[in-house]
Amino acid sequence: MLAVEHLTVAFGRRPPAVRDISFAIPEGGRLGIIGASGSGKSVTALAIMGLLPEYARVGGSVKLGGAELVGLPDHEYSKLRGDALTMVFQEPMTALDPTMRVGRQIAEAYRLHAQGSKARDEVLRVLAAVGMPDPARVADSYPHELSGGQRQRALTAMAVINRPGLVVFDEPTTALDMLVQAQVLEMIDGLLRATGASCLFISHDIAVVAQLCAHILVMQDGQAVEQGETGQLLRAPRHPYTQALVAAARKGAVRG
Amino acid sequence: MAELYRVESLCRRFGGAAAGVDALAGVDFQIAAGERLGIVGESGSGKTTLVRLLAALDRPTSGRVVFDGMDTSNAPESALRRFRARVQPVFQDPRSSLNPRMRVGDIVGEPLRSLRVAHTSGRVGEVLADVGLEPEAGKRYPHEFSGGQRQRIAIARALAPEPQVLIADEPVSALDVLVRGQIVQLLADLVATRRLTLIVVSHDLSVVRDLCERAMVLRQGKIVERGPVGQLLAGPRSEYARSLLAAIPELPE
Amino acid sequence: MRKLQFYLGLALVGLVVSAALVSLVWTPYDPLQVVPADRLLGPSPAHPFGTDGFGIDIASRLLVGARYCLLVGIVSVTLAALVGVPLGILAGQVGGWVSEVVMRLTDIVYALPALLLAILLAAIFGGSTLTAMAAIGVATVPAFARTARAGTLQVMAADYVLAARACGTRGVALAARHIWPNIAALAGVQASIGFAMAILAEAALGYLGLGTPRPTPTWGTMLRDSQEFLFTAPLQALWPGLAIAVAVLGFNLLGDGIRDLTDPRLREAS
Repeated sequence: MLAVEHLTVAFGRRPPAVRDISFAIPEGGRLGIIGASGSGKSVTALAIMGLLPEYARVGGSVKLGGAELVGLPDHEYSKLRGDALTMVFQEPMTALDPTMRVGRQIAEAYRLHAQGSKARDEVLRVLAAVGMPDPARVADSYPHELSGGQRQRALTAMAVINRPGLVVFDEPTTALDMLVQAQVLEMIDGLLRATGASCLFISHDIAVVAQLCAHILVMQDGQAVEQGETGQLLRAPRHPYTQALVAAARKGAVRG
Repeated sequence: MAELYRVESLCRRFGGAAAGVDALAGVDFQIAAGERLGIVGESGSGKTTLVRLLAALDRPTSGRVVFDGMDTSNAPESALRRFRARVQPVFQDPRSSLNPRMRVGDIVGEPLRSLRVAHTSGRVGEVLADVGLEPEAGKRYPHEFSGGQRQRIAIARALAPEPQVLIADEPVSALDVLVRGQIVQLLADLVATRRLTLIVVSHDLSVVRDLCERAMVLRQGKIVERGPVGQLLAGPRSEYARSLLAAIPELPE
Repeated sequence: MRKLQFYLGLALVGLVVSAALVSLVWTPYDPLQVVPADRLLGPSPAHPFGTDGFGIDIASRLLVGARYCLLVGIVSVTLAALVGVPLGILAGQVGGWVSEVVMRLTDIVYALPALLLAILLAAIFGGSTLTAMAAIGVATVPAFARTARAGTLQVMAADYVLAARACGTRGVALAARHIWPNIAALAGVQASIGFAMAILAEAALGYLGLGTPRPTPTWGTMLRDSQEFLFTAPLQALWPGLAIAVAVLGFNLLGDGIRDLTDPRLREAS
């Protein structure tokens, strides 16, 4: 589905934020990228989405379903974004337009990439799919009238309404409370299972990633220091940084 | 042990009587000198409001906070000088809790100056050393330091007037995962060597477990559970604490 | 791009400042010397900008005019900043009724145009550089007070102010150590823009005959004097107009430049 090869991203004269990253996500596969802030994990996501600022220099290759994305002109890219390729951001409040009803925003994402007037039905269907108990009420609400968890569900609904092949999640639960995080993670898991979409999940929390993804890539200072199957990587981490992450997560475990 | 803090029917309402929200809706507890208390809660639980009231940075709508016999909740600022030298807060995000336009030395020395605490000229260098920073750090600006180092600076500032109580509001949740352990260890060491009374507010139960002996769980401005930390983790009695514990993402075995 | 804007602003402002400085030691001709034989000459090697209706060298008058333009700008902006910034900080820091009173007062001054104030002052004291500066200064106070208050409110919400309060810092010390350093850049931007406004206002007052009286050359009065020759010698109006435009544009660009260069969000992105 997605094949990233030797991806390198540099801003201005500074050393590259992402250096020579390669990974692949098969159809329906899930890859988690973990790393500290500044490790280049979000830059990697934005590079795949083609959302980096113009002054960023991108090298290497990003292929979606065999088609090369690096160097694609922006108007071509926007046709893909929101359709074959979508993204869910960390801060659901800033990712939603505060002046527009949630349902309309989701419908907008739908209409941009599809014809017909059955948008409303589709919006309600997808809101139900992300676990909203009362889709009609949510669709008629403004973002500020929803809770953080509901906003993140609405964003996810917007991301999956066009049945994309790949959804990129960038720390989707970091701004949420733990109780809500657990519910949203469960929803994402079920949704991916139901739609069969591939997923790239970015987080600083290895425990969250381990819950959701079959494969993990560990980033440090712009480089991939280790990647592998989740169980294997947790059992026998090879790189010292991964070892430290796993050890910290084990030490932080509080359930007896 | 001697009672240090007594919190009585503490309420804090934001936004007026009619349409307002009760951030704290009647909270009672005591803290003994030398005790290490964890306050667990999610956003909206009222924990940040509670921190501000305990540090006398806000005034309650009703109820009171009594520190060592003195009602701090209605005291004028001028009467709080001694209190401030004895009770110091550490905030969540050192990126915002350190003035970007002040040198680290001035930041750490601020309580000494403002509270007119008698001190030696080398005091700032000493506390910087206590938190594991070079004395030369005092000449630099906050943005020249990493997140973990900045939190050390914030801790140094809190330690400068030699307080008796440290109130830490989510002291590590803005930091990278691997740095968290170091800061928790630093706090634990400081509390042990200086016999500090510690109040830690966090949504992260592992931080409370590592630093505290007793804990309270706060929800929507009320205490829903309290007791020894071990008991809270092993057998929480309230439904809320149970679900909170179950929601923590953990690595599979 | 942002830097270019800043440097362009700096260059234009530098031009005005150098003109003013040069005029202190040297002008091609006496800027007050009437030479009836040389009335309304076009540009020539002897008079690069020509001469005016009194036969005075326009270049010399422009140079001296820069002096008054800067004088009025500096004095009125300083006056406005010295009154407005502390008021704004006070309103933002103390809040409550103090803030209400300060803000309503600035509303009232806002509603009163600088021109009206200048006419008032000129009527009482007679039009002079001093009344022009006072009028422009007073009229600019609200802009500074509002900017300072908005900045202060932002700073007051920061955790480092909370930490400072926990350290026992309050009142003037809080304002001096924490608030002012963090809104200084904002005030700088406001000063720059205020400068541009002041220059424009001074020119307008001069044009209306409410500012610096004749024969002192200011750009505003030069513009006014050129009026009667607008159809016979249009260049007369061009030169002072151009000078005003250069100064106003320069200070505006400088203000935008300072804002962009000191905004950490923009700085990180570049």
